[in-house]
Amino acid sequence: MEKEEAYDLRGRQSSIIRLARFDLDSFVHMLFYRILVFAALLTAVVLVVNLLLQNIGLTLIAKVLVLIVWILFTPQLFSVFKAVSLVSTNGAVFGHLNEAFVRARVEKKGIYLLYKALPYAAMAFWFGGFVVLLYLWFA
Amino acid sequence: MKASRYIVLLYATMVLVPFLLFITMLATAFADSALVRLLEALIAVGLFVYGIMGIVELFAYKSAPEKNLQVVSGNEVVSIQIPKQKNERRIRMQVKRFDKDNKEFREVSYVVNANRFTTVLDGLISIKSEQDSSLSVRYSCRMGICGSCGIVVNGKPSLACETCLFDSVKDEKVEVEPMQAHPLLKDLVTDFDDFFEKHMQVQPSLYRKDSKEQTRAASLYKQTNKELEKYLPFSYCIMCGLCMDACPVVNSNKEFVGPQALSQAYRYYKDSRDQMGEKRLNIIDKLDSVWGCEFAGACSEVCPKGVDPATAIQALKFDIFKDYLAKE
Repeated sequence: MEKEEAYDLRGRQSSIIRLARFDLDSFVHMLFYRILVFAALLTAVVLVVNLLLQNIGLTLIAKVLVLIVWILFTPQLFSVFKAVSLVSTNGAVFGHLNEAFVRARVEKKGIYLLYKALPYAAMAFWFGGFVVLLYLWFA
Repeated sequence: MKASRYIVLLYATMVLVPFLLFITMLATAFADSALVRLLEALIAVGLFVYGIMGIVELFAYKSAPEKNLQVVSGNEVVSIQIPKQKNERRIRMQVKRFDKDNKEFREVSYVVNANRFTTVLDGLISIKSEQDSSLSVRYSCRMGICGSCGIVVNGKPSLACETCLFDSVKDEKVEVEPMQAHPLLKDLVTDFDDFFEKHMQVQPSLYRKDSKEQTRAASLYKQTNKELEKYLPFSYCIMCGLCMDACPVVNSNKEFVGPQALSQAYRYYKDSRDQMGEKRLNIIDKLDSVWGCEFAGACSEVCPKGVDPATAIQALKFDIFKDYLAKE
């Protein structure tokens, strides 16, 4: 059978922008990861150079970069805890399982509340740490 | 190639670096500067490994994109006034049509009559039958079962037959375009050959060793409710391809197997009747397969049947991880 010619639009990193229109969380997650990959490398280099040279200007840059990396890590870390909750509860927490299935067959257990709180609790610690570090370095 | 070894390192740094950052914060407050310097060195190593692996992952994407399609925008309005009936209102549908001859998108606006039960698919069918017969759209059952009418409505991948036209009006119009994570054929119609090839890659069928039983059935494959619940929601997939269109990794890496196939791999892996066992995990333990997923979660957000591919993929990752640790 003759195959119809098709035009393939896949293969562009810019396609992640499409997410912004229907799933902002996913868009932020993807965007932060893309930036983080390069920011992590840059921060690693600056940290090493700063450890070797101990220059005040460089120390300041290193501190700012570490704080940026701290922020960029936030969605990744949230995802890790979310995945733990998701898998531990078979999709009952944070999942998007079929509503009829959930109503009929998914038992609601008390521990699920803890799993739901887990990523948010982790984020509270994470942001607390960020604020403390900001205070220690710049106050 | 099994990807578990590579991934263990990536995931370890992903958890370790934030942990080190946190410890550094505490050390800055309470300890001497020598410890802080040691921690900073460790963070540098962690970030370096994380950054390098992330870049390797991004550049491993087999992306040979064809040129971006030009959008010839929407001054073209086809408006054949069909008399309105009671309870109907006129709605402008802006359709982004793929012109396969000129290799460009053409935005054409149509005005359709709609009541509160009219779906986007009804609108498209009325355009095709009453205004512009050249418009190509694929559909079959019109009731969310066949999965043929997947399109993008106001930027969100949706089934045209399950999307209410009234509720979709934004800025006095409804934007309709084809899915972009499947090769385009014409207007709103996309090619699913690649999709089905990827689906086949995960061997989506029950594998049994009892060949005699299969040719001459003598007993039942009994399942308890618990065994059934492990895979039941993942078997609701209608292969509409919306999850693939929503997935940012599928959009940027042609080789990624994608959420649909992976959710089906999980569905059969968790089926107590299936006897393929760990081999299923080995099939998907690759960078372009389960480890390609970056857990954006958009696939589950758009799934019209509640299959939740994101949960399935994360569960597969945990199972592979456990399997890897058990063997090591």
